Amino acid sequence: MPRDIILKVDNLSKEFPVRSGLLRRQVGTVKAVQQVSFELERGETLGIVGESGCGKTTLVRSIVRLIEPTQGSVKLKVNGSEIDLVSLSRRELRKSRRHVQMVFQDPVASLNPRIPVLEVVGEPLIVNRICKGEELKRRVGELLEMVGLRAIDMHRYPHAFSGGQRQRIGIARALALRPELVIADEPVSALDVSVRAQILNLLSDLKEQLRLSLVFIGHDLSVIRHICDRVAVMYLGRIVEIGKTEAIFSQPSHPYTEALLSAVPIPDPEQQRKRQRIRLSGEPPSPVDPPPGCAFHPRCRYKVDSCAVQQPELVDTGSEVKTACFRADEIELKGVTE
Amino acid sequence: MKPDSLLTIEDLHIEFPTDDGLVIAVDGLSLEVGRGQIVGLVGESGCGKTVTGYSILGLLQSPGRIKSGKLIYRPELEGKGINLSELSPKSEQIRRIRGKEISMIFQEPMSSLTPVYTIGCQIEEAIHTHEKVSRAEARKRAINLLRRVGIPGAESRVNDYPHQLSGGMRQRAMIAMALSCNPRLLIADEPTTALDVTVQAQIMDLLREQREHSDLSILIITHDMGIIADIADEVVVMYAGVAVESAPVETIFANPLHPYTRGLLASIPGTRHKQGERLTSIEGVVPDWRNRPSGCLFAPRCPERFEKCDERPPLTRIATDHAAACWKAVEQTEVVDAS
Repeated sequence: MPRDIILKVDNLSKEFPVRSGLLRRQVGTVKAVQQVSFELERGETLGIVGESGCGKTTLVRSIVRLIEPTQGSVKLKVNGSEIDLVSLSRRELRKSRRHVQMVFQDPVASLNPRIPVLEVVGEPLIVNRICKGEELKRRVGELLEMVGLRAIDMHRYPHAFSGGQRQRIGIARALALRPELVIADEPVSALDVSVRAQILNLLSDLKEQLRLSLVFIGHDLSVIRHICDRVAVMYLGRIVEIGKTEAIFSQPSHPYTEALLSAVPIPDPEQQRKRQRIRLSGEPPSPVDPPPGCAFHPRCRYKVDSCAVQQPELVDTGSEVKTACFRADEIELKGVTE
Repeated sequence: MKPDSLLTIEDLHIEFPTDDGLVIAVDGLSLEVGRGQIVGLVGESGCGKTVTGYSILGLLQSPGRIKSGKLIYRPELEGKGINLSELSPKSEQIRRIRGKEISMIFQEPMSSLTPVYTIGCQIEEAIHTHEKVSRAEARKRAINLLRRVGIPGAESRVNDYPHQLSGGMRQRAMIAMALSCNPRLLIADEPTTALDVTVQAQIMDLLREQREHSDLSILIITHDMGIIADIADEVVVMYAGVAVESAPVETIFANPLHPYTRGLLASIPGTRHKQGERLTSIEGVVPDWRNRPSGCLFAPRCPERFEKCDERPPLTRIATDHAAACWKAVEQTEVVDAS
């Protein structure tokens, strides 16, 4: 079966100028996202993980052009034809936006407290002139029921809902236009554990029912492992490793991934306490002035001289994983086993 | 009470009278922190774990107040210890304890450090508050403390302002300040929630080292079962203001008795689930403060509730070191010691 690629990101970069002084002269650039490429298949969930400041949010915002990318292309397949989101004019972009929707981290901040749920969820339908009046109410009612709320909830205001319910509203709104692709930026990070499980189950169900393609940003690796088919690990604006979730978790091939996995405590005291700990010293360097060569080399336990000179490319390791490390073949890295 | 107890909380009740009514934040909590022990207080947002921490140091924000209960610190002192709940928040006695005997670190270090003084100044201030030492001596100690918490280049970093440090370094500086007068107890309220996992791992190592180094007791307040598994010796699980279960960490994970603890553990993705499999979630939400059930607080969400749950279950000892507030658990186990 030929692969049905719905999203193809090619060589996407975003630089922010750093300005300083009276004349706001540019004194440097923050290379927030550098030459990121990946593909997403229809119905697939891709997780993007990395620590704060690694560029994961900038990456997805550049994909939907909430931020203008500096270079690269983002090809989205809609009804069999491909459109490049980066080269669209403003007007065309507005039309294409309905195919890609976002779910944000903080459901409180992303809902307008002054308008009832009917309008919150129905707004995309109204703006795109899809329906109004009774038809709108019917559609919103359906959407609310799909995310586990009641249709009559449409007349209530966001403050009347708990955190988990608000995130359900956010998801209903994102699904209103039946998008091809949903991008969820830390959708469960603000929620308590028991509620988080409810939302994750909802996302899994919707994924199955609607055959949603999903890009899921998260810093909680247990959540990523649970929900994602493939995962991309980012460090300082670049993808350092990408591939099948299970392959990466059980046997990472980039030293940063190994350290990241090792840092997450396993919620089981027996396993956690006999684990070998791999500790990174220091913190990620500044993206204004990234180290030469591999950006991770100053903190890497496996580094060799060439790591400081040359930037490793993402290459296939054979097991459906691509990694950006010169020594991927020689070093044996530890993952997490169940 | 164990002979080596450092802090014993007995039947603590904390309430916040507001214009809309009385909010009960903590509703009969008992726990014990032994010397050199790391006790984890775990629960979801709003369960009362943070106000418990604040109440120990007399830091409850108005209109919050301790309604009843005892906070016995160092029970060996004069045969009865100091009851912290009886001290006025502004009394000389609590001031001598706060920062010297018991200190606290918070989730967001930036909001606990003042931006207008260097971190060295702030650490020295803590030392000068409690001890009569020369300025040079205080500075030397500040540098040593920064070194002890793993800040590289401590000699120059001591002159940095908080904004010049990264999040992880700020939390280290906070810990240095908290340790400046060699406290016996450190209350750590979500100390790594604002930090990245790799930095979190470093801070957890640091806390562990401090315990080894100076027999420090730590009360760690968190919502993260991973952190509990990593660092705690004893665990107290809180729900809606009450302790629902307490046991050594291995027991809590291997043999949870309270349905809430079981639900909490089951809703963590990973250990108990295959990828893509449905997670067990706890249906419903935490009871609203206006409408607290008079019986078991967890009953409305509990899959195992029965008639008896209309009555509030006390925290009952079920094995020598394992207690749960659940009628089902009591019924199913032979009660070793009805305490």
